[in-house]
Amino acid sequence: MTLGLFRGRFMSHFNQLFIRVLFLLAFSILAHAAETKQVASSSANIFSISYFSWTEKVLLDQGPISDNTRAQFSGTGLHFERASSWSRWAISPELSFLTGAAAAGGTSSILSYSPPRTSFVGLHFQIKSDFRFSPRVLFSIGPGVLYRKISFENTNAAMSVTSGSDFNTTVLGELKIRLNSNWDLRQQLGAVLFNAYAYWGLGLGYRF
Amino acid sequence: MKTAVYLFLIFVSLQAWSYPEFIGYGYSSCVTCHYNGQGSGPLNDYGRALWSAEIASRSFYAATKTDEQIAEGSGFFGDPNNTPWWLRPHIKYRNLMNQTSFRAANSQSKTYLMQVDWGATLLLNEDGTHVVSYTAGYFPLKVEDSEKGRMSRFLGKEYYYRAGFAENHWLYLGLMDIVFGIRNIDHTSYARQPQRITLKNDQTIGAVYHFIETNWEASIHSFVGNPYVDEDAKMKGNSFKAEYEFAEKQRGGFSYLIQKNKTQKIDAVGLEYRYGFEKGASLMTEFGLITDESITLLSTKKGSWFLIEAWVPLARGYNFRTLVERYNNDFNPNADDLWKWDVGMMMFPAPRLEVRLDLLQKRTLKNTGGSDDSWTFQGQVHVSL
Repeated sequence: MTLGLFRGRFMSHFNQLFIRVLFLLAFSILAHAAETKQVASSSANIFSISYFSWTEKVLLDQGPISDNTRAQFSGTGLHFERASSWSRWAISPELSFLTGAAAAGGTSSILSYSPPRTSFVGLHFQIKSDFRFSPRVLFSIGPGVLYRKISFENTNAAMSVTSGSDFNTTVLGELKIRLNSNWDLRQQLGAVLFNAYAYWGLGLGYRF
Repeated sequence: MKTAVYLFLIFVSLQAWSYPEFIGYGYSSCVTCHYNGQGSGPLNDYGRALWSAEIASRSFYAATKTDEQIAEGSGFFGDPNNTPWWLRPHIKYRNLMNQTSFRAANSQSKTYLMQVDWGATLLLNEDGTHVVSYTAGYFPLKVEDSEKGRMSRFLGKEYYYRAGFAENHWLYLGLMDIVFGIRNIDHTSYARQPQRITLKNDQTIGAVYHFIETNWEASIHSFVGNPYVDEDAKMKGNSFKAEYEFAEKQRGGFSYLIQKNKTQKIDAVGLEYRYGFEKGASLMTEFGLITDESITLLSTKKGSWFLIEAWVPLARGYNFRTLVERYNNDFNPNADDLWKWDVGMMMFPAPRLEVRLDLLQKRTLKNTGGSDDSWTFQGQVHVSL
């Protein structure tokens, strides 16, 4: 499957692969879904905490010379999700507050750039399409908007440093397992699309 | 009805890896299905029947054929009565296709012969409490082997005598995998490789005492090293493992390991949890601390590992699997955090056949500096006869 809209120099082949894999996963789940009867529905608010990470491409420009390196973001996310329905299908918006630190540089071959570890904060908003595979297993996928604020140190006035994009888009898949009536385990895997790479997160959610 | 069939039939055992994930089917203890009560190695009669009738897909069988009939026909030579009750041969083949830098310009694909095992289990009495089991495995040529004029060959990979007495007590003597933690088949796992307890290369000569009660079990293992390595390189030591089933299909466990040779000493302690949260579905997690001491370099590193695996059956014989692992070899702010994410399918399209597809991402989180993720696509085929 090709998403022509997203092909371009900003979108790595990893992200393209992710999107294909996520859609393939969604299709295979539908193909193997067992019963079609509706599960009893209810609403739920879910507050989650997770550890996450993603990687960005850092562009270095010094006059006619260009180079690139990587920045790896990791930290803690606080997520609030409104699960609108617990029928087989549902739409759930989620707002996340992200905080952590990023390590960049060290992999460029022409221009030298090694800033110290730098803190960041961010917000992520996602609309998830949920598929309740079984009473305890929920698969989700959906697009999101990511904003993160970070200022990498740059002591070389002649060189510009651009990491990823302050505003970015995401496509994240999620596996949620209900451990009991209140607690969920959640795993997220997906892509940050522009000048960035894979995103993953692992966390616990409390529903109330 | 299924239970009666399992007890009635006499089958040829199958060489197979253990899957602690099967706690999702209610099979919490490895001794249920394996001659080696710690898991892995040949399946006993019940394990073979269970595999055919409950776990593997029946897609290739007619709808009119019952699961019991499928189980009855899965002996080594088809009809299980063709094999004497005291003889259980086994053969296993495993091939791995590994594509690194998946979909990148510098992508490379290689195929590895991971496993060719053959052997047999001899039952010394009809209730199977006393057995002798032998498995030979293919060991590919290593550089040091060629330098010494050795050839690729089959070597005894696992061999032991098992004695069961007073219902709950089991004793194993011979060459076996080290008793520790969740018996993860992935030899590159952060829960296996740093600890030097992989199921691929770290078998050891020793004795295992295994006590099993209804909802708990404990094992002690004393070992003197792998017989195929030089004396100075042999890892010798002891390990302990205990598991307790505190709720239906929920098990917690604790493991301890200490082993050393002339140049290295490893101490490790692990906590594990396995949960069969739905029929066929499971969650497993393990956390551990490891001290790795270099005796020659007089340096010690204290690190940790963590893994969590989810296993969800999409349909009978077709399972979706995710695995997250993390390893840090030193409690030092400058030490790297190694993360591994694995998403894939574990499929049993027919009895005696396993197909795996995995997409593997590795990321190293550093204190300073970034790095590229690595992507690997793997496909595996296992055939057990």
